[in-house]
Amino acid sequence: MNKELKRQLILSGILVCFIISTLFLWYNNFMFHTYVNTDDYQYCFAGGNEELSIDGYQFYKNKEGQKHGNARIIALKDQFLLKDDSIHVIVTSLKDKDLVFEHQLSVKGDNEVLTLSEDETKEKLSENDLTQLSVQIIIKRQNKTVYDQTVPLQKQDVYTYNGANKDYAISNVYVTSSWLKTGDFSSKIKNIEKQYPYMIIDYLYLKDNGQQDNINDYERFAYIKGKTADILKNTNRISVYYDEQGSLLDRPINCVVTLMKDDKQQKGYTFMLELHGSLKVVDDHE
Amino acid sequence: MSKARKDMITIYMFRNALATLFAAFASFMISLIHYYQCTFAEALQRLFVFDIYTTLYFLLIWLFDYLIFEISKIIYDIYEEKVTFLPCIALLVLCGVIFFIPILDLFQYNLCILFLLICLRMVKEMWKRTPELFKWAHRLVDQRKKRPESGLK
Repeated sequence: MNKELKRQLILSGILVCFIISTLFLWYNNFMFHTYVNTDDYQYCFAGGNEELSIDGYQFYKNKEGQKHGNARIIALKDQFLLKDDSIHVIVTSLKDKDLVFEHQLSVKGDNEVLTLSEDETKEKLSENDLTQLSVQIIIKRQNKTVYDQTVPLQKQDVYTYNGANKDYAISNVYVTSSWLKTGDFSSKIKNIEKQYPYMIIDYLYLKDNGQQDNINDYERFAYIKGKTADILKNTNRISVYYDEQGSLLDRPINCVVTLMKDDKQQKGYTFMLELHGSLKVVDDHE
Repeated sequence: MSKARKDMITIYMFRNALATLFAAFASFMISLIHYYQCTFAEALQRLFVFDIYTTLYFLLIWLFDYLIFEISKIIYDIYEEKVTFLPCIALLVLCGVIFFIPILDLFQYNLCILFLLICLRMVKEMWKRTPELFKWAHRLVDQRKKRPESGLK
């Protein structure tokens, strides 16, 4: 064998060994960051007229199931909703008239902000079914119908935000111009729930004219607090609404994660995850 | 020498690096599109924009591919005189077998494309250095050329 070739072969062999060992060492980290769980689909609708506004009507499917609902209804006129009114909400797909989703609720106080229930979706939905929706709202007061209107629901552009550092990640935060659904928290560290049994995740957006680097210029508008073991299961996601001027999509959003050894917020370990990515949620599904 | 020609030569010099880059890129894209059921553009974002760790791993895989490709060249040079079609066939079989080994699909695609590239290069070198192995091919080409002539006359 030629001496030169032998030398080249040995050098390449050593380099390959280095690369393979690095590939092995980084493998878990790579898997944690590259192949994250995603939901099957997520839609968000909003609409309204002069009297009522309905925000954040969702259709989603993830590993826990297929659900719809969970919207916020606000009366835009004073004394429009009174105590003991009963409200019947019927959401219909204009493409498929058989697709009807009903919600029933009662008003517990004057001008109350109402939240629709979140129900299991039994029908198999396709993207085509959810292109055009309308909502019929019937308000009954002392067994008389005082209001019956149908309002079209607009499909909103939903973006997925993600944020991660080496060991922790927040993924699948869904954001529209006026609504945010908190995401999944995951960690690469084993037994983190034993090390830090309690935790809080705060969602913050940058205030007007605020400095992006200054944490005091951020407004906290959602938080999840609880046992780390529960939060890691990602079953307690919440929806929040952004009622300021402009679009939430134009504001930087950050998460502050506080891991705690006890629930008294002492001996905490706090870090910030910048949310970014803004990938539009894939709309088409079967 | 014209500028375009110079550029062409530079690209030719880097052909191995570009080929292995293609292997790494294609395997990442196939794997990401398959996993997320997403578009090419989204997979591209996930590879280069989304996460630094994914991008770094991609570069590492590229480096790995390049080194393996170089090693295959050195081994070819060592056994230049004894070379037959056997290693080529063995590599092609490996391309198929790799999909039955339970590893991440990214590695399966990557190794498969890499082996195909090594095969291609091997065939190219054999064509250049040991033309006697391709007598059958020449005969086939000759036959093809002759046939229409005799047919027309």
